[in-house]
Amino acid sequence: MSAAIEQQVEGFQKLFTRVKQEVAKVIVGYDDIIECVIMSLLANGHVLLEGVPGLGKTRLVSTLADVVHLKFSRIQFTPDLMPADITGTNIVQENAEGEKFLQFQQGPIFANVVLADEINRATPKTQSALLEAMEEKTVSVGKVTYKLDPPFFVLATQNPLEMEGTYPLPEAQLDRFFMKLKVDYPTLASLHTILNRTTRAQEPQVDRVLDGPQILEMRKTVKAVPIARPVQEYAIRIMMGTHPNTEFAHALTNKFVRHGASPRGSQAMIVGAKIRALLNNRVYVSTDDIRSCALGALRHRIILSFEGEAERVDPDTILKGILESIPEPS
Amino acid sequence: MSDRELIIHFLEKAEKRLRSNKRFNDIAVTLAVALVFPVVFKLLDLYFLFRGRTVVTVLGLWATATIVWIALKLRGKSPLNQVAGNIDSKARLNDQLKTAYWFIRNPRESQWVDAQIQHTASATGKLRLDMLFPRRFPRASYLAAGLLGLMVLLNFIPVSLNYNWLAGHAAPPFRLTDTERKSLQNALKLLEQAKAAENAALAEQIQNVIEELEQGTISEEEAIKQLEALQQELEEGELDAENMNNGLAQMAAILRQSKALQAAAQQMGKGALGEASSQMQVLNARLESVSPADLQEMAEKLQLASERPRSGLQDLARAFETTSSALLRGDRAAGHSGLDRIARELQSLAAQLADQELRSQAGDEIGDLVESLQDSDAQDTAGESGKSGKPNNQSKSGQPAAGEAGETAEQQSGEAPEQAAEGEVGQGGEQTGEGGEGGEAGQNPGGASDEAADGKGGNSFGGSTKSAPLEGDVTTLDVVLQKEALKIEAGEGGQEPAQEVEAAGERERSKLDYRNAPSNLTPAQKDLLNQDRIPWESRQLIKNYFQAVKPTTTQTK
Repeated sequence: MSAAIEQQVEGFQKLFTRVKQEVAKVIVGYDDIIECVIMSLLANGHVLLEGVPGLGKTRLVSTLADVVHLKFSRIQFTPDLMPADITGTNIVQENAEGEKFLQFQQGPIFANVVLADEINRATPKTQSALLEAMEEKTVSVGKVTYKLDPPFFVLATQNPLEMEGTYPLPEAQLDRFFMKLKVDYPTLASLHTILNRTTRAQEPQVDRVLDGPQILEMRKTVKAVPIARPVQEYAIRIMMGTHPNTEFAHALTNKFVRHGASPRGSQAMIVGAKIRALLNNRVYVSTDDIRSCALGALRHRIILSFEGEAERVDPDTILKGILESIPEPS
Repeated sequence: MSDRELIIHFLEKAEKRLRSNKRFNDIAVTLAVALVFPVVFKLLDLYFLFRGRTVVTVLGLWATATIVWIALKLRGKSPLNQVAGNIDSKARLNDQLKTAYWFIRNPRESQWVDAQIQHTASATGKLRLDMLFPRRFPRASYLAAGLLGLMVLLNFIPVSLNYNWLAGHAAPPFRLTDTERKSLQNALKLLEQAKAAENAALAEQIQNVIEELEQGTISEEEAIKQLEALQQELEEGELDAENMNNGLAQMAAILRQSKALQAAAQQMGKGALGEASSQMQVLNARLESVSPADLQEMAEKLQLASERPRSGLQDLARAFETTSSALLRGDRAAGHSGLDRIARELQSLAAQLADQELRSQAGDEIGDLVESLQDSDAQDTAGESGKSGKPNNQSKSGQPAAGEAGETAEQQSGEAPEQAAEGEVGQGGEQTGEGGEGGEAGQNPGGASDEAADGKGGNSFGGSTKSAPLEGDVTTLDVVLQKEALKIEAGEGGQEPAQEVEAAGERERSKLDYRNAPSNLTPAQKDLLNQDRIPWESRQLIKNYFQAVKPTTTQTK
């Protein structure tokens, strides 16, 4: 390995590890979640965290914002939240001469790290306000389009759909999330640590270890990691395995899936796999990397059929079946 | 060598190793599976006895199929990307080699790609093929070796019906049963005991026939024919034993009337010719002490016995005649010489008859063998064509067949002087003395029908009748034999009536062998009579004929 590449990889690993360690000072027992969130940040993707209230989702996002030293804003989604409450709006202003004019007042979306808290409590109309920002990194108000400062990173949390007052996210919006991470209850040991840290007089403080330019540099490093055609094909086959009635479709797919993952799913898998490769001190992507990212990258992109919904099929079950059935290409 | 070349070289080496391991494994697995077939085939052979041709054909096909299958399996090389993937999974390289190989085959300008290839090249340098793909005996090879061992073991199982294929042996096309083989061995043993030069030739012929049958050179039917011919040759022989025995019995009956010859005649009558010879020697030794009357009587009886000798007894008859003449002349020296000659002739006859007996017994054994072969042939035919083949009636052993023949003769030919009886040799002779009961009591020692007397039926030693009826039951006729009153004439010299009756009875006997009697029959008729079997179509006709000529009750009264 050449020295320059080696340095790049080493630097990437160091920064990643630092961020992770800082976040882990506050967030206990969710190492995988933390890692995936940082991965999404470095992959230029957005994350949807799903879990019951009180598991520290919001705390995780705010801690990450503190660590990465970026402009952070928080939007609490409620049923009466309007799109303009997110994007901002033109308000009438008056200058010194008494002339009135419209001036755009930026909404909370204009930040680097946006926490969309309990995103599924807002109506789909309001939820859709995030679509343009998440994909094009721009905000259009009236006839004017405003560009968001990079890096732009949305971290949304949502309660399980079974809970009161929730609206399912539109498929188009779900597809814009790089990963959907499920936050489960912490383990007994983790809970002890949580209680020890949160019930003392002094709460843990985090350092800012990463800034915007560093994040952008890391993103470049990620994109430089090569991937061989067979490994890439493996990712594509997995993605196509979610499509019902296709060559690679699994039996569960045919039975319970209405729509499979979009190409964004395979993009997410490959970028995530590249980050994993770097974290494992490799300069190439392996099929193991693809597999490890498959669940997070694809689970929210699978639209279940009526049968799937009726039988409450977990998309993870379908994806595990696909991963077992798709052979590794030679 | 560049990093790329190092990787390719390593992959090629690995491919060769994998290929050799795979070939070894494929061969072992194929053999393990394929060897089950010959083992099972060999096991089946222990019960069903496959012929050599079958074994060679089946095993040839099996070997060809196995070789073709192995050849197909061994064809071709594994692509290097597969080898790379195999090494990745073995060495837990996380697709490193596979990715590097792909980048080598699809080059691109990238430091990252170069770094990956460089890293992979250094990693392959640390890999050891012997560790990754060691040369081991596949498990299947142990199974294959076990099956091979079992196959060898099966070939050497010491069972009579097991043929060692490895030594090129296999079940013959035909195989004698244990009983048949025993019969054959007995026959050969008897022929060996007989020690005549021609017997050795016959034994060799019999062995040749059996060998050809077992090798499939001749059919079973052909073998039966040849064995039947040999059997006939054995039973008939040079001597007409039956006739000779009858003649000897007649001679004994006559000689017994002489006081001096009584002891020797008694032995002759029993068929103990050796003893009779000894008695003759004893008589010769004490000839001087014999009274003239006894000598006269002896001479007369010898003369009488010498008349019309039966076939094979001419020399003995001539010796009788010479001795009789010498004694009548009063030439004691010639008498001694004559008696000595008689003793030698008797000794010679004893040897000849003993030899003939052995041949006859050997013939019986061959007869058993033929009968068994015919049975199996008939069963085969019945099995093949669905026809119910009727097993022939030929006797298994000589004794019952002789009995049957005797019974038949008794029922069929009441008037014949040589009546059939179940008696032993000598019984006939003893019974001859009772004269008038000729119809009931068999005077023919050994008991045989006309057929037997013809040399084609039961022999005097109770041997089997090779021409015993092959079809259907024996025809029986309800013929009631009538006693015939003989006129008694007073003889000259005041002979006692009882002796006259006896003498008259003796004189009425035919002195001419019926074989030598002139016949009015045409050669074709003779041939017909000499046929072994009565044709099916003629049986009813013959039966009707005999029933038609059967004397009615009124007639007999």
